[in-house]
Amino acid sequence: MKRRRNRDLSMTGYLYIAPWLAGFLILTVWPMIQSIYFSFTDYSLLEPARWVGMSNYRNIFTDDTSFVHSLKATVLFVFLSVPLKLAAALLIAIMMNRKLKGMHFYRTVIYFPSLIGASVAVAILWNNVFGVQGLVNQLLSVFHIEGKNWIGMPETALGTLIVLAVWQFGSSMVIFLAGLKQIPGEYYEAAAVDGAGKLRTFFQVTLPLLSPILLFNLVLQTIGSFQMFTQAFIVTKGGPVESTYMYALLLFDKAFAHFQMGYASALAWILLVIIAAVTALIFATSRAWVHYETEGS
Amino acid sequence: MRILSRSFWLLVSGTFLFPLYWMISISLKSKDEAYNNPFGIPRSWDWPNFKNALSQYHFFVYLENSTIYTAGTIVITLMAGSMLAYCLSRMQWKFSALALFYVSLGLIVPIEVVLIPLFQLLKLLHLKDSYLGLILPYSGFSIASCVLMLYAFLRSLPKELEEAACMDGANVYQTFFRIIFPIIMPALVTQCVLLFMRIWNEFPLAFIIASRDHFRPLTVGLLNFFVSVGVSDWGLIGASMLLSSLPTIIVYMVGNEKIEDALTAGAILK
Repeated sequence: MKRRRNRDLSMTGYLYIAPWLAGFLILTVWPMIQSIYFSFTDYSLLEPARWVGMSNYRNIFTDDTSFVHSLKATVLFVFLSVPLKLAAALLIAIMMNRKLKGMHFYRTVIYFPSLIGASVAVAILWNNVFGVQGLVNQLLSVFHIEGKNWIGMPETALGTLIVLAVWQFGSSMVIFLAGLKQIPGEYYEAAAVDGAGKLRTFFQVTLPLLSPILLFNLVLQTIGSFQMFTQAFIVTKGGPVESTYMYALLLFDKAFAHFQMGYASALAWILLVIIAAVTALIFATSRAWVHYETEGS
Repeated sequence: MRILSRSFWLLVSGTFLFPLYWMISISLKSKDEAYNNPFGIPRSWDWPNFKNALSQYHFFVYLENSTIYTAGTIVITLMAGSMLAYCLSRMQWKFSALALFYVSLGLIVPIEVVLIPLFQLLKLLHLKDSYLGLILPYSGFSIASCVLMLYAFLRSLPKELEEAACMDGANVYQTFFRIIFPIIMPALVTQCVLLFMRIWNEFPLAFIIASRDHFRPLTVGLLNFFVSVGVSDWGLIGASMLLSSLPTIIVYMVGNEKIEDALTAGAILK
């Protein structure tokens, strides 16, 4: 009797997960398995895939300068844009965490670029702001400084994309702000009684208590930045001289411009390994710097 | 000090409102004025750009497509996701821990990894250039974060709810749809907002899958229009950019508190 009841329950369980299971298997698991297989083949979509063993991976690591360029651009982008973005988000969140007239308005406004920032429209705008005739150069000319073709020069092109990414700190900021609001005021009172200055209070009180949220933002932004595509595709198209050739862009070109599906699959798996490794690294170090309130009490 | 902080905030919001100003101002300028005076205030208020944009740029087609993709993804993700989350948090079955782990993996697998087989699969099923061709992959990729959030939410609910329903003779399906569904509504609304922002602005997948004009969402449609018009007519581009951004701006104006709630819910519930 008891057995039957258990079985009924598990039947219901399987019924509940059935829609997800079917969709998940067909749309993610099966393509993943196929993608591993493709990464060991030569495959152009038109002809059946031909097994070539490790040669895609070997070519990527030994014989592909674009891979080196795009890896360099992507890593630079992630390591510069993520910390800068989080620092900007945290700074503005702390400044906003005060009762100031019109704060609701400012908060709405500052979130605005994040809202339409991922959009094609802003990428087109960026082209215009940093172009030869762009706003930045016009502002510089007021101070009699000669402008540059920011997007067209390999030294500065990646910088414009980083500025664009940092500018969209709105969602991280909103999350920080919610975290800040949860810190009990007594902590600050205690710090004030102990005579801690503003900077000291920040490092001893605010930052430790905010660290779980910092971890969340860091992981989210890092994973997202490794996959950056849209802005690079529209603003710089990977150029000049592949200085902004983001990894996702390289992958897209190999797959849908050159129809080297096997090669592109191998690139995709390398990206997955890199993202997984970096995420694991962040979590591994997090034990040293993330403090949970329940600890030690 | 007060003046300093006031001017700081004004400067910051100026920078952040600039794209909106630029889109509005350039959409009111003629071809020549847009070229000679791209960032200044328009000299005259003209609306022909909007008229031209509406006749050349297939705004309403793209708007309809974007709406279908977003709404379809939201419906499928919330239905399948809430059922799975309920099952994972409340029922005991052999593979529930494994399933939860597997769902979590969905958070870090980049779409690039499955892109090529997915493209091929959709072609094989004749779903490429159809609404389902984008709705299904979007749902597949959205479900991970949806399930994890609802799972955390459901775990915090007392078990007595279902016990009471069970006493009243409700079966497990009635319990779910009549008791649980209304309770998790706030979390579902949050997910709805997150999904809207994600799917509405999605570009790479739509660019690859929806290649025919008839099925393009606003993002892809706008880029194609920009490429075909070129940089010669910024007024026209500006008007179509403004039209394309309008739905998001309106949604944000109406629901900006909901959006903030949604963003923070993800971090705090995790």
